[in-house]
Amino acid sequence: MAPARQLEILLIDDSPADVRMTQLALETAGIPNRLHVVETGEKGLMFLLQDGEYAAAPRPDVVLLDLKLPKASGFSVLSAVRSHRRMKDLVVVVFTGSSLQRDEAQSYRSNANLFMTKPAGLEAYVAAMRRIHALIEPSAR
Amino acid sequence: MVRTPARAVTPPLRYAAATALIAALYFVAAKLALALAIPPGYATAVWPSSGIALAGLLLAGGRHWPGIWIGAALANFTIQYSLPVAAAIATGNTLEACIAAALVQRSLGVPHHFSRGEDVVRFVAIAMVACAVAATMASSALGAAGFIAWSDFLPHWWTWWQGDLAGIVIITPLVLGWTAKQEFAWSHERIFECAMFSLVLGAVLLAVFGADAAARATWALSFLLLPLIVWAAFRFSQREVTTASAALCGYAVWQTVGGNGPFVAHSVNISLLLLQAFLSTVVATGLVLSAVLEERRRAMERLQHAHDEMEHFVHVAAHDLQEPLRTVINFADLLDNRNRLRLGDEAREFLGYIVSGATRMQRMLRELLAFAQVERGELRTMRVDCENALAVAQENLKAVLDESGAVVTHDPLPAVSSDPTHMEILFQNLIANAVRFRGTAAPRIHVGAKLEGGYCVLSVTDNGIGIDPGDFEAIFNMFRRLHGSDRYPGTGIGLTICKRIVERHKGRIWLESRQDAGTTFHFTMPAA
Repeated sequence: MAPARQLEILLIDDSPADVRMTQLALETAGIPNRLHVVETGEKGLMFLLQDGEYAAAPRPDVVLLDLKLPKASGFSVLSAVRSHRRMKDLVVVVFTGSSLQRDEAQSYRSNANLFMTKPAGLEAYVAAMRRIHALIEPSAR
Repeated sequence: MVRTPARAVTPPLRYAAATALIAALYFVAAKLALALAIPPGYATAVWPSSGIALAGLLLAGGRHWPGIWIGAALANFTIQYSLPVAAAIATGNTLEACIAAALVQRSLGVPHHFSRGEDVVRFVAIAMVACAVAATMASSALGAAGFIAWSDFLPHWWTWWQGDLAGIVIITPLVLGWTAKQEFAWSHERIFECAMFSLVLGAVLLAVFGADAAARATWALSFLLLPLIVWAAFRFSQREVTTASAALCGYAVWQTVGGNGPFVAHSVNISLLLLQAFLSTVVATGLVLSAVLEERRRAMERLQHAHDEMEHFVHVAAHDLQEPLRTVINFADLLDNRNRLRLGDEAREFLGYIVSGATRMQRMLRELLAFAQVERGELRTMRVDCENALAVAQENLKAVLDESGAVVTHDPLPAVSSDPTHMEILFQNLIANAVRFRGTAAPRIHVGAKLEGGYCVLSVTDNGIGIDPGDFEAIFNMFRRLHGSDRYPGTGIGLTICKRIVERHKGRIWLESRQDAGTTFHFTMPAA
């Protein structure tokens, strides 16, 4: 059996606690990954366009996008991604602390692939990571 | 109510200009009024100059009183051609304006519009007092100089007093209203409505005053003008109300002088009396109504604002507080999970309490958020099929229902006039409670419906542990629970949300229950 390939994940989130949790949950779930982290929407877009300091950045398999970001909001990043020809086919998961229905509706209206509320508790977090993994590699278990 | 600060030193040129303007306006208004005087007397139905004088002093400052004196003296001199009489009358009018201005400023500031009913009453009361001064001086001077007989003193005084009073009450709010900053939004609809209003007002005025005075039918028609003032008060700002009143009064005076309309009587005094009574009623109604409506509008705005702020606060608190809480839960969980071997039993026990406490808090916050969303959300009302709503609720509770082996049955359920999300929440919360507070047997839940009048009474019956009648009120309180959370989970806000939803749809919610004998919750919704 060929070794599972490493997932390139771009995490756009400004909360160190949530970033660490994501990292640990991926590890616990046994999902091989390279986790790239940026704290602002602007840096996220630069990464995706391989601009400036991110010239050598790989194309991510999935973008985990928080909604509450310092300057540009998550929604504005989402629109920017969906309207750029080089970025519009990326898999974007809105991964936010918000459980509001209107945020979910807005995310799908802006063509996010998935909307997930950040769960509480390791088990739930691991399940969330597995769900995201299944989104990208349906054959993965 | 607008309070303007006392003016500082005015440069002499500005002072002279303002004073001259007041004098000129007073004179012109006086001549206009005299042209419309009912011959042969010197008293008129309305003396607009009084209104201009008071408005002028309120806007420019009490120091400009010489303008009034000059204008009044000149105007009256051109009637009687007697210097002492003109001087006396002028003094009376000046005193009237000064006293009124001083009293108004002390109690109301400069009222560009009246924002309370009692402010209108105060204003009229002050005017009544001030006009008495002018009426007394004028009637005395004219009597002493022989221009009127002493036997006519009282009727003359009364007419003078009424005329000045009408002038102040009609003209002063009008001038102040037009010199104020407008906050009223003029949309296309409003402009159209205003045009319509003007047309209707014009038509009614023509009808009332156009006919021959002998045609008694016009008497009844004059009452039509009151609803028109009410229309203006409800739909436009005070500025429009005072303008409509002034236009109405002006036209009424003009027509009555010309011998038209219902107020023309065989005696001049009777005519004046009738006309003034009519004018006072119309103007007073308009002002008071408009002020009271303004008061109500402000109160509702303040209330709405406070309500919105409260809502926003709850929303922000519930939403933003979840993030740090999530961090606590996550890392306590991680600590426990990744250090199983290194931590002792006690440490793991303590971590357990941390996680469960934080998790409960998170659930409470989420429910508080749900409650706030029920509160602040716009109320949608549409035809809702209760069977659909019930099916959705059952679907949402699938895991809980399967796990407890619950069986949910229902009568044929009607359609109601409500919000579909609200109906789903109602069914979901009541059924979740029924499952949660079950006895030893598997939960059996039945949803029934009855139509009573225009209302649908829905009921959710269970075979659970029941509720003591003494607790019937308490269970609807926020976060109030009757049992410990280890035995029966739940945050205690489910029923609070149900009650709030039912209340928002103007319904009632109540229950029947006995300890260990099951519970039935009833609630009403308007039938579709």
